[in-house]
Amino acid sequence: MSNLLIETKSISYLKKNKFILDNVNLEIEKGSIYGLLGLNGAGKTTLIKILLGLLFVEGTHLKDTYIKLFDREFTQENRYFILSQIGVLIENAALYEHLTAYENLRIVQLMRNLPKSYINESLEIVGLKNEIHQKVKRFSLGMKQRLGIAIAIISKPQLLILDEPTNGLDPQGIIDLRNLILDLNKNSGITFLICSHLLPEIENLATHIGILHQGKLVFQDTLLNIHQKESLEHLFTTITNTNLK
Amino acid sequence: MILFLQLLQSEWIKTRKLSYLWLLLLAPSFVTFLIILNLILRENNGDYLVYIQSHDGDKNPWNYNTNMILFLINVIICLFLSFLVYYLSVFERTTKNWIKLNTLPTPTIHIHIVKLLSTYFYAFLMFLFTFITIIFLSYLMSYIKSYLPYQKYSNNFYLVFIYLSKYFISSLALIALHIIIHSNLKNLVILCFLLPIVSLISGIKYLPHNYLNYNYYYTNFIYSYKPILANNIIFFGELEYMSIFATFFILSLYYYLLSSIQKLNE
Repeated sequence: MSNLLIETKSISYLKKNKFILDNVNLEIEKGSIYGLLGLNGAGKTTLIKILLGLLFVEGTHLKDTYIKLFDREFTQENRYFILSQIGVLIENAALYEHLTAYENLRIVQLMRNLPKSYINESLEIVGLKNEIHQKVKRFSLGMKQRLGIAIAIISKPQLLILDEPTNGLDPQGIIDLRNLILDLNKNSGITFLICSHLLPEIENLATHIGILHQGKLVFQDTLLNIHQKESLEHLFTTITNTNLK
Repeated sequence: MILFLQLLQSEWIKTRKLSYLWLLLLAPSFVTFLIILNLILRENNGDYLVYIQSHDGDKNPWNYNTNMILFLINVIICLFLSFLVYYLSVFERTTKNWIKLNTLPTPTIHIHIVKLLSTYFYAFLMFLFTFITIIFLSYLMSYIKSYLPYQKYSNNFYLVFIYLSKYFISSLALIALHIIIHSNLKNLVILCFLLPIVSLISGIKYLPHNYLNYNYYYTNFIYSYKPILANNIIFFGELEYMSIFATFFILSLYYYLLSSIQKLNE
């Protein structure tokens, strides 16, 4: 059994005759926090959408092109199993603001067919137990993000995908979110894939780094290995200043 | 099946506190207001007496009331129904919840069907409230105005029920069409008016009714066709058959298109 939670081989995504993703080989180990870096428009969100089955990649029936999550290829048969193991938070949390925190979680609990006790458990993990019956529209942005994470972890997933999770947060909100991610990774063993263009944030969190530039995954290694050679900022600047086309 | 029921329950939790639901009450209230306004105008112009003289022996106010509803529902209820369907369809988009819903380990088609059923439920409520309001108002008018003997002909109120039921069936197809368009297109403002446009066309079709020009003297100038709805709304006519056919056709199309979209996503 492989130690890789996500493995993609030679996946490309073409839109309007332009490669949004070009031959991407992503490898994410179990238990890691994988920081996916890239400039705006590098293809980070497209890659996430492909991993979630929201975008269709041609050629996955070929032997040397595949998307594997949890040691299973992303096919129709495996789709529901794979999605049941993933929690998602894309940019700002998608919430029903006219409802309470509890009701927001109750909706997901019903749709995922989970035990009711999971609602309180996930609210406790993110520290919103006291705001359980408060309407979401009265929440601060940081609280909304934490509720978004509570929704993402309600099914006790193996993998959590976060796309720009610190967008719009104040410094205290960023610190709280960072601590929560580290705590979930350490105590619950959740693997994280975090997309961001904020270098310091990723540097404080990630164990592994991948850099996506102009649709190509040009670099991936552990943060420790990077730090032995150079700073992440220098590496990122060098890569993103190169025109691959 | 249990999962499907849970999906219905989650949809109920989502929608039951939406502020747009006041439309359910506003639409019947607006119809009521127009009925009263019309009554006052007619009373001041002595129009009701003209009606009685021209329909000697037919003093059943339910006939008059039904004709009034034919006109009002096509224009008013349809407009409010359209807004309600619009808001119920777009609130997932405005809260950016579609990505979250599409990444659940639940068949996407079930989520869409549950949304459709939920919208039908609210549409049904709107028609039910309209029915209750009209019946209540009729009896109230009968109590206040002695020349409107609604109570005397109380067994005739089924005319209103039959008409509303038929109209509800006819609206099912349009609601399905609305939702599928809202699910897939971003330009929603223009589409919001699809249902009112259709209602206006059908309203004009209903307008040239035998009694209508007596009840609404200001519609006389439009009255130029022969009655299309005949004088009896109990029996199924060409329009009702077409509505039911259109409902099933569009529902099938709805299912087929959503399945295709789901396959593309998968």
